[in-house]
Amino acid sequence: MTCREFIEFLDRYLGDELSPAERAQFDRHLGVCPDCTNYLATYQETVELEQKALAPDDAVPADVPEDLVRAIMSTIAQK
Amino acid sequence: MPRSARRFLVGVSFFVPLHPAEASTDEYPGIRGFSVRRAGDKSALVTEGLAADADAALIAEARTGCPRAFEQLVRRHAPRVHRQALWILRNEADAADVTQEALVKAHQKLDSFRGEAKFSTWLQRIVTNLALMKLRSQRRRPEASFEELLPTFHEDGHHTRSVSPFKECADLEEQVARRDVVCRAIAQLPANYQEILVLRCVQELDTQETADFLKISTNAAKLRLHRAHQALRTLLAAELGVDP
Repeated sequence: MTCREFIEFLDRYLGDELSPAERAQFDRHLGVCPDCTNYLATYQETVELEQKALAPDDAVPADVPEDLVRAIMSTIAQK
Repeated sequence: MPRSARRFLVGVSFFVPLHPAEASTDEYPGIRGFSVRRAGDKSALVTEGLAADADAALIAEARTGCPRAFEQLVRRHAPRVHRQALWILRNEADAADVTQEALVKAHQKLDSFRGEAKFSTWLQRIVTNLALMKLRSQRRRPEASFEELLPTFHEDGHHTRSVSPFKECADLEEQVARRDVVCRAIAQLPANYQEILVLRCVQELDTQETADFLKISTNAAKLRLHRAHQALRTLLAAELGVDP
């Protein structure tokens, strides 16, 4: 297995979509390739950071600005 | 969510927010005084049911042309709609425009709401569509330079550059700074790659739902998501002090 193949199918490896034989090939490659080992770790960290960045936070205003409500109701009234 | 996606998200915690409709005081007669839903609260389902009933009553009245009923729906749901728009667009002015557009559209299409999904879910779909349309219309990194963000290999299939780990994140302050770095990096992606991240991470759609939404095959959806992750990894590597 080459690094190109490893990276190309990395999502399938992480998603547990490979056959046991294919998975064993990936694991063997990881055992001998520090670049792909680092790539795998940073790829997983990227996904986690992306999830955290895009995940909801609790900074939800309880109320919507009055002018926005008025603008919406005014637009509806005109239609 | 399919098993593969669940495995993919192992270790990632999602904060489940209060529904603003449940968190705010409801002024509509007969449904005043909702209890606030908390994580693990066994009465959550009951509360959710009451909120759905309240929405149904307001929708029925709004359909008769009662502006006050629709205004109550706006007050109940606009914060969540606005937050969704802001997450996707990351710009307050654009988010306010899309919030307004989404709720006006919801009013126009109220007769087509059949109650098969929750009203809040229906609204989220409307605002997501509108926000993604706006995102697509904005100028982003062209596809040609996107290719430069993907990993490169020698003819024999080995990496052209050595790959280093990311720096350790020392403290909370650094974690907050890192989140900003990630947001800026996501904003540098072409719109269709940002779009798939939003659908997966914000909308929490699975692969099949994402493919259906984008009208592409599941394999194409998987490939696009994988390329988005690869490009984002490259951008983060440049920012976090390892291989550019």
